[in-house]
Amino acid sequence: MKTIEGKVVVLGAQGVGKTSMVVRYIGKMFSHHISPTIGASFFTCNINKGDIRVKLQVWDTAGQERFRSMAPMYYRNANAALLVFDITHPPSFSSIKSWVKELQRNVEEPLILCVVGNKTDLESKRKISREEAEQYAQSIAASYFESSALNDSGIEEIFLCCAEGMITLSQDKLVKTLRVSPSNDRTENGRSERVNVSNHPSASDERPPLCC
Amino acid sequence: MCDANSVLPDSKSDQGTEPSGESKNQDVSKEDDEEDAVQHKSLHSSCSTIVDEAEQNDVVNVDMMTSDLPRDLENDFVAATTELENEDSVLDSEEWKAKEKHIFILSSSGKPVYSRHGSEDKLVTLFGVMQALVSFVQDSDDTLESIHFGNNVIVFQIRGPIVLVAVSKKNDSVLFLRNMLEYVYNQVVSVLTLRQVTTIFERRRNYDLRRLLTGSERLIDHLLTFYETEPSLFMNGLACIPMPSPQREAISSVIVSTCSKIKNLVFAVLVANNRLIALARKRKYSMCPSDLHLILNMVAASESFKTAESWTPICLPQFNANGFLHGHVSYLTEDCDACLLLLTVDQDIFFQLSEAKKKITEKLTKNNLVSVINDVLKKPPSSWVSLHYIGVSKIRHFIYKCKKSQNILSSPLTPPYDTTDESRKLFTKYQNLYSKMFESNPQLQVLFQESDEERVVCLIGEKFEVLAALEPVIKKQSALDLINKLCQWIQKEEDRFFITNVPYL
Repeated sequence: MKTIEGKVVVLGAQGVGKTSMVVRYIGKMFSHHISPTIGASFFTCNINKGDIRVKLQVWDTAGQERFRSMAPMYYRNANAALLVFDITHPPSFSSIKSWVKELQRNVEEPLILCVVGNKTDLESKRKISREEAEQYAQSIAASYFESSALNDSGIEEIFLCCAEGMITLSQDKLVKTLRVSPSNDRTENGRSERVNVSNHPSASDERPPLCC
Repeated sequence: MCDANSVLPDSKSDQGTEPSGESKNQDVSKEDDEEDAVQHKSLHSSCSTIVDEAEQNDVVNVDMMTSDLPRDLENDFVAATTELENEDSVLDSEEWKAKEKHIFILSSSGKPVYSRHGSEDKLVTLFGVMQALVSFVQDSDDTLESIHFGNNVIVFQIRGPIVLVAVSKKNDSVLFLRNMLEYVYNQVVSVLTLRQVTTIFERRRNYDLRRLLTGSERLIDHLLTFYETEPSLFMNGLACIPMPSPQREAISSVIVSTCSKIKNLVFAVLVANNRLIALARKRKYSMCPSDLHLILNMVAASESFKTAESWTPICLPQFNANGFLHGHVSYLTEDCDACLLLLTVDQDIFFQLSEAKKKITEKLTKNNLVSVINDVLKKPPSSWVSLHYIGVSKIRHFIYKCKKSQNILSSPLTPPYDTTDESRKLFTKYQNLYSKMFESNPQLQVLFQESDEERVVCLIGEKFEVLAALEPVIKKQSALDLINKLCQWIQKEEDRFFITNVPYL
């Protein structure tokens, strides 16, 4: 079985449900009392697609402004980005636009972009229409999804889309950050020789903590 | 953030990095005219609140301050807006007024940052008063430290661009409140680093710090409760989970041997239930109790650590106030309450630490040490120390601090201290006595406080500090004899209660 290993970064404003989404998908549960993420959390999951196994390394980042300066650490060498906003909260939609600009400036390799409108369980309070979001997603060549971590709807599709995107990316010779191994022997015993995440950032990567 | 090497402080100078709180920025009214209008117009109503209360209590003592409130500020009073009426409703709220203790954080230009009770947004008025008081005293090249009236005390701490204020109605000592504010300040630094706080306010004096602190208020809330209920915080000591020392050493050595090849790992900390299980450190660096308390607070206040491995920046102000350490944070196993933190200055070694953590869990499981930890954690704290068994049952409660290791041991809160009310009363007595002891000059060695409820004793020896509550009728000498007996017992059992030897990574 061929194995593809790729990095997914989850970005978006605070409180839009990034952690809830990831925990719903990976942990198959939902908690109303989740505390804000500090820094970032790391998850892995495997998705089998035909005879290919896709291993996703998911970085669930903190949405608070104070962690903004640390984001490059997480999206560096990412292969997919989930840009999550809350359909009832317009500022969170604007926030993904600035994330996209930042990614376009700083990520060189092709990146799978998924725009996710979360909290469809609050349909009556919706402020961002599906059309508006879809149109924006199209303009940046991203897929658009709507989901509810509370009701567990629409989340599988998002991760599946990442996995499929990575399979497509793996055929692109220019993509160097995806790790493709023909046999599963080495990946099965948990060893990883990827070093790209361990690269020392140069001093220029360090941005001032604040742009006010 | 700074690069890996510069985060490691010089081991000699790491204590003196904080500003000494003597900010001389007094030209507040000249800089932010718009803001000041808000502060001044709202001054009138709040001043009258304070004065009302003061009149009821007759005596008003203002430390370090000789003249009255700045009266001319009242001339700036502008008609109240609708917004201000809302504010008044919070200030008038009986529930809000009834709170025993208030903690406020504001910027030196008077912007609200945090209020323990009530939304700081609705208290702009009051923040204006606090800022006015502080800057008025600063104008005469002095620093406002505290205001006393009746049983009430207001304590101020000015730390660079940040002003912290504690208000207490229950006769807390100034030292206790000052320490409390120090913890709050350290929490803010721990979230942002001192460098970031300083830079922000250098660039914009009226920056709204709440933008950067959102989501961290709960850390401050949690820390305040922690400080009020856990004596190791005001006694500045480390509280451990009791465990036979061979087992504790076995746990530490698994951690140390697994991490020995990892460069730039500064601390490995294993904690549970707000206490330390094991600690290892890089040579030359040590973990200050107050830094450890910030770690314990973060772990206890963050449910989200339970769901996944986290890569978390944390600044430990005593270690280095200007840089973040990066922490690999995870629970040992899904069904174990012990949380392992591997703290490094290198932000790029997450996967290396993740591997190390896996190996540590494997080894601990293989050597049966995870179940040892689980068993220890299952035992209720009430079973740790039996005063009856030691033969000192006339001692109702004690807190013991070993000066050398800075470890703390306290007995379980049994009747009559098993309710929140009663335990708080006792802790207030403890902290008052403890503060008096430290303020005495030359320092006293023993201090008694008698009341109908109990006899409280504070004893400071060469090697230890003890606070104890005994039955009320007991004679001084027999109280001392019992305490001596207790101390001898603890010193004999020290290995189980304390981490006396912190291994090197």
